[in-house]
Amino acid sequence: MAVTVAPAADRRAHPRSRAIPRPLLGLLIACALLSIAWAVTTAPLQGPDEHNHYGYVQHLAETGSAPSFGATLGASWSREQQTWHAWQNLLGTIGIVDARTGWNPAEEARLKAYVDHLPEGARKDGSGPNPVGQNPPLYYAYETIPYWITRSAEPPTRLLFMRWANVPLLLALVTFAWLAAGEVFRGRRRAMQTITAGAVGLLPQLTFISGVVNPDILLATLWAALTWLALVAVRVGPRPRVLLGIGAVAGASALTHGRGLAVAVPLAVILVLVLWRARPLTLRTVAWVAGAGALAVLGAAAAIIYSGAHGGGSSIGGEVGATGSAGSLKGFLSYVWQFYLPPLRTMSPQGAPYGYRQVFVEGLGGTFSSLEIQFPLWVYDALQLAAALGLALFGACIVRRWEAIRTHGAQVIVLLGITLGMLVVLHLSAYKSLQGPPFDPLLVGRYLLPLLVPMGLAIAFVCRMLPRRAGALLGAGILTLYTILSMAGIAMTVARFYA
Amino acid sequence: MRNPPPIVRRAWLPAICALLMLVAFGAWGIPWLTKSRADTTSVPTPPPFSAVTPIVLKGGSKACEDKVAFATATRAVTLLTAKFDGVGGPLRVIASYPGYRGDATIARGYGGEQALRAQIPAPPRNAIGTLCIENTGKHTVQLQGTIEPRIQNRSSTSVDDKVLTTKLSLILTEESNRSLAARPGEILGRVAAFKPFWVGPVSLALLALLVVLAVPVAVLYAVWRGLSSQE
Repeated sequence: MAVTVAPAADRRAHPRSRAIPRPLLGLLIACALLSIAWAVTTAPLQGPDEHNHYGYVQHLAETGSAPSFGATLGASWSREQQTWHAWQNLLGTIGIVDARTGWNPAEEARLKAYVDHLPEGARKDGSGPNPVGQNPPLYYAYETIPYWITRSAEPPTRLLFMRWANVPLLLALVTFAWLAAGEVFRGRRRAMQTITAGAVGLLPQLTFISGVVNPDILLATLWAALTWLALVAVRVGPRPRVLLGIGAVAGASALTHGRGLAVAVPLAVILVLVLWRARPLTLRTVAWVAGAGALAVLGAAAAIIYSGAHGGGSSIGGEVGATGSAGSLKGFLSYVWQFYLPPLRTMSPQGAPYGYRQVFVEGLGGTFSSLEIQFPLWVYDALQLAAALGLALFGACIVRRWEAIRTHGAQVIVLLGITLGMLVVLHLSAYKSLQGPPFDPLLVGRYLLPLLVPMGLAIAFVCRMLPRRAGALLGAGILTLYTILSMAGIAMTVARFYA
Repeated sequence: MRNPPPIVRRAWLPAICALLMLVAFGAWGIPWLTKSRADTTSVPTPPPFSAVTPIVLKGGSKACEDKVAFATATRAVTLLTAKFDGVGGPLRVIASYPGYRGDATIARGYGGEQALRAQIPAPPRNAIGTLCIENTGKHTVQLQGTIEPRIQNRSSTSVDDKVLTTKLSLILTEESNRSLAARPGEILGRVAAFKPFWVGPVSLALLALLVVLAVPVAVLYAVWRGLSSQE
């Protein structure tokens, strides 16, 4: 069998073409349509914490400042947003399957009457406490663009455009996945790019998140860019543009969400690896690597300062900085074990039974809206079985092709650094949050979206290792399955809100 | 025997994928679309999420919920009884807004933790009004309410004109259960509510058609160009 990954020593630039490759074009069209459909069918403000994210964008757009976090004297949402909540019955619907948002023309008329005679300052008084007020501002600043373009419209129209503003982010993410696969695979590159980009872009949880206002879509896009740039850096060495790109993306990650601070781990791995491979070092190389690090530090510092000013203290951490007593190393290892595997007899329970199945299978496979829209259990059972088989196959492929993989150690280290960096940080913060009230693991499927490109590459790797026809069939089957699940998710969302 | 032309050789993979999609639609999609389900017109206050807070209605007392959305399609009111011993007495349901009053009765004989359904006359127009439940019997009845912080809505509940912190759970529906396939226009109209004028049933129908047809076609195209050609 041909070597599956591009030779590390190959430093030639790949042939460039201005035309979008046709398989990628097909995937981009499918992803864009799914994202647009999610945005239209998910009832307003019913995405995860979407009412708070919208409130953040509105306050930032109207006042130039983020809402505050924690105990303050203001209101969580502006009067305009509160009136919208009331007349479309939005708050009482969040996460409650039996509730419905309003669609009665009489309710619509009441909201219109209010907006037509909007009281002075009714859009500016959502100063907080906002539960997402500790988030750094990058995504929200981006969302102020559609907000301002549609400012004269009613709030539901503004929200629709804000949701649609995620489509370019989704398309960029899929493109980065495509490019990353191009860096990893040499033989049958086009097929592997199709599988990787499709397995990433068509994943139901991703298409859903791209249809609601939520910083996770930007975070996922930035990490996809980071993965691609890191693989490029491994191939071409310490090129200034690539290094500065990596630094800028890392800084932007920190400026997007508290979880984005986890980028410190993969960034360190990437930069050290680039330096190691560039030996003997020159002052110029060290300077560019330092420049990349400085960009990231600058982003992180700006995020911490900004969030500190709006949330007080060290509030930027969010899920990453979950409070609670420190726990112990033994307890942490026990928690991680029980997250993925059945507990051993000597282990004490670490919180409610909540682990791999709920986060990786149900979360990524698809729980929609505010987690209340779910597939039938048999779908998750089947997905879990398929994932187990896939992981076993992945392991077998690694063992079988170990020598070939070792020759591409740098790429493997980069992908491991990105994956483990985020996973360790997520597990650490989940473990910390389990140590104190409300004893909630604070870990859901969408938190894994930054890892989609490494996951997509793993799927493509398995397909590449299989006999040619079987690999193509498996890859196409996964893309088909994700398409079916994404469309089914949209249909279930329509039934949940409008039936 | 001659080999089939390349386009046929390359078509087997997208053909299998298309078949899978069709099988999924037939086995899962069609039964789901044609399944009969309650046709809700509004939910002023949903049933409690985790804990019921009963609203006690003595004989002759009246509980009212304000700012209830009545649609011209509304034909029934569903309320839920909380746990109580014995048999519940007759209830009168009064739906009203200026220019409309619809009365209905629920006969005695029900028990605790039951869903009670009352048919009301068709409201002549979409409007915001009040819905009252009057206990016309002698014995006390307990209805399901909620004080859960997560259930925040515009309506408030009062008993004999005294406003409560508890809110009465109410669901308004059409006359009978129907499948989604039986009412596509109505569903699209609801999706279009509160959206800009150009997001209407027609544009939404076009979008639905695009999603149902173009998404699978685009994915099959990607499979054909990306996988079949290198198979």
